[in-house]
Amino acid sequence: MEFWNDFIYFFSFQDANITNVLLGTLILGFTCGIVGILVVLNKKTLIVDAVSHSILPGICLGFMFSGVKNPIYLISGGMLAGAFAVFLVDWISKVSRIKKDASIAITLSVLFSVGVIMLNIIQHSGNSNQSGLSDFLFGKAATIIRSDLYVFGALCALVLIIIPLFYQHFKIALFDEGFAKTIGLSEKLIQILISALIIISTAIGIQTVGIILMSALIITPASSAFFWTNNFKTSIILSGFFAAISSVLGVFISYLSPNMPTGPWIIVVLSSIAILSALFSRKGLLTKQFKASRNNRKIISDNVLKTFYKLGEQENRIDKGRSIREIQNFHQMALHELKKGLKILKKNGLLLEEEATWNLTDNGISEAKRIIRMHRLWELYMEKFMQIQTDHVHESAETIEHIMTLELEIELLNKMGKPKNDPHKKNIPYED
Amino acid sequence: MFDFWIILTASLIAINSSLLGSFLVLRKMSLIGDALSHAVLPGIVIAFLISGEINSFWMLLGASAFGILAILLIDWLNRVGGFGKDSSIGIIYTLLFAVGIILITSKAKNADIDVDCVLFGDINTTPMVAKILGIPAPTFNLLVISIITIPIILLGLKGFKITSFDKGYAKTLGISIPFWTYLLLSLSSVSTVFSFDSVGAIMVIGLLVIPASFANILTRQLKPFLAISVSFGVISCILGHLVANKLDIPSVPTICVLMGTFLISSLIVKRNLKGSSN
Repeated sequence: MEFWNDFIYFFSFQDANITNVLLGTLILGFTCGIVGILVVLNKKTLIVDAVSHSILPGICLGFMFSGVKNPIYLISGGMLAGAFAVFLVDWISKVSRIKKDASIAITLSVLFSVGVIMLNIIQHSGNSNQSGLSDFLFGKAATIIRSDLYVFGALCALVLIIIPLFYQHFKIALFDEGFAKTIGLSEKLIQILISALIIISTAIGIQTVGIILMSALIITPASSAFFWTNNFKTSIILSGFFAAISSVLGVFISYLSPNMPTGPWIIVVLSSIAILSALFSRKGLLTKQFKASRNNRKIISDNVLKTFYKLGEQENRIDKGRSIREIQNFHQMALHELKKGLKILKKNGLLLEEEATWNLTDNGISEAKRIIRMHRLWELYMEKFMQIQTDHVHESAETIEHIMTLELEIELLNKMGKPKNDPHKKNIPYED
Repeated sequence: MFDFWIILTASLIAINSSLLGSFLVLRKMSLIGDALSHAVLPGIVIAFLISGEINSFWMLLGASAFGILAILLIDWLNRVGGFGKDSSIGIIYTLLFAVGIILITSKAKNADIDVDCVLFGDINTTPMVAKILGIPAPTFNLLVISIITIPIILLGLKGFKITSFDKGYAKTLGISIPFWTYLLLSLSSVSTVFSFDSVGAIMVIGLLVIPASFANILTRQLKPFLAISVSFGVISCILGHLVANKLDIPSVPTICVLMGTFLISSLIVKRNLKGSSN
């Protein structure tokens, strides 16, 4: 009950402080989420790490300069340091053979260390305003106040202007580098824009998520979004949505226990969305597995039906009951697969079981005929129209028989009339 | 004596990290080191919550378990899940680190392990903690780790070398690439875990990567590479600690900044020399 009271109180906008926090995190999450799409497509994911860690000295600098925790000074300092980090990463790997990943690691650890030293100096300086500077490490959304909102809002608006303004540029540069070059699109401009977006969104995001985990707010929602869509515009919106939802939920969870930093909870929610997307989305793992197993079941049961038909063809009695032994003697297949196939066919009303013998029902007979017909029609088509040797046509027909549609069958019949025999001189069965 | 233990601890960390970091850098795996140093946190906290002590065998076990878990998860997300390599690293390490922080703030309040210690380390308290055989516990543990790690690297130099520089050749010789890669990663995570409470999660990356990168700009031969890397690490530790003492600021970040300054100034000098000779 207490939980629901908290829940209602939190989301009902009664409390002005909570309203600020909610609005602030919504804006931040959304901004970072949409920037994330550009970052992930541009393969800049790890630069974000360097930028976010480097913001610590920038914030300390902003504080030392102003002596108060004014968001404009802190964020400006942060952006300055972030820009320096981007420059340093590029410069190190440009002037030496140090690889990009190493230069990212160097930049982030060195600049973070500078920040730690500055933080230490500030803490020993006796300025009472400094308490709470370390909240920037893991984020504390509760510290968002009205004046922060204006700054966040302005920066978010900037991002929301840049992206539509350069929408076509981004799209071309990110999806087709070669084409972008041919039409003379400046690669440098795109890189600068994306770096600028990273720096802006990181600098405003750290108050909620914190320096250490900031990169996740940008990378994780974007990576999740690509599981659901291939469309650039949809992915931008979806990523913004994921990030905003996770931020609000994370803030709510940490509101329930006030000692908790916000950042880690936001990341846990974000990662859960990513993992669920990886498993259950259209392109997800479990979805793929489910489709594969459905295919597999169809292939097994089709093969059992075909065996019934062929046995019947041999003895000219398709409606005769067969035992498991009989089926296995005719067509080698693993017992558990055969049993699985029989069970599926029985469930679908294609087979009847009577005292350990199995009979095709009327539906079963026509389905068995259909599969055999598909197989043999395809063999004939391969031989006649594609000039493939008679002894090579079976393999291809063996696969296509499971997926052939009615439309394709009609097409084949139109092309070939109603042929009597397949290339192996076997009879092609039709409905009476 | 006071400074001696701190410098010894820092130097031991520097030796281990520079050696292991050299191979990580050569294999373009610097950021795996970054990921490992963050991802082991939940393991450390869980072990601490169970055993109630820091620097224990349980901590090593927990941390190693999470180190391996992180590597497997990154690999899984990348191969099976269809995420990009960099994104997989970014997603997994932030998630595990976040879980670690949540565990610390909710369960281990007021205990020896806190968020600041995780981030910054507290090498300056080394001489004051409990001693094993007259040696402070963190230093003792690092000594043991060094006694194991250094011979493995020196004896396995050939394996590490071939699998780092020429994977195709290694395959033709029948040398297992996964074996040497996992050996390197396990040694790195063990060394990371035991450096963790002294230098913190973020600066440990600097100690892994900067000395090796410094060596990388000076030489292309493996043995001088390792020698430069290790001496650079140790010298920076000693100098860094002295400077920090003088200025009354924390030692570990000073060491890191000093290393960075050396690296960047040598890049500038080298560039200018090149410019003037042309």
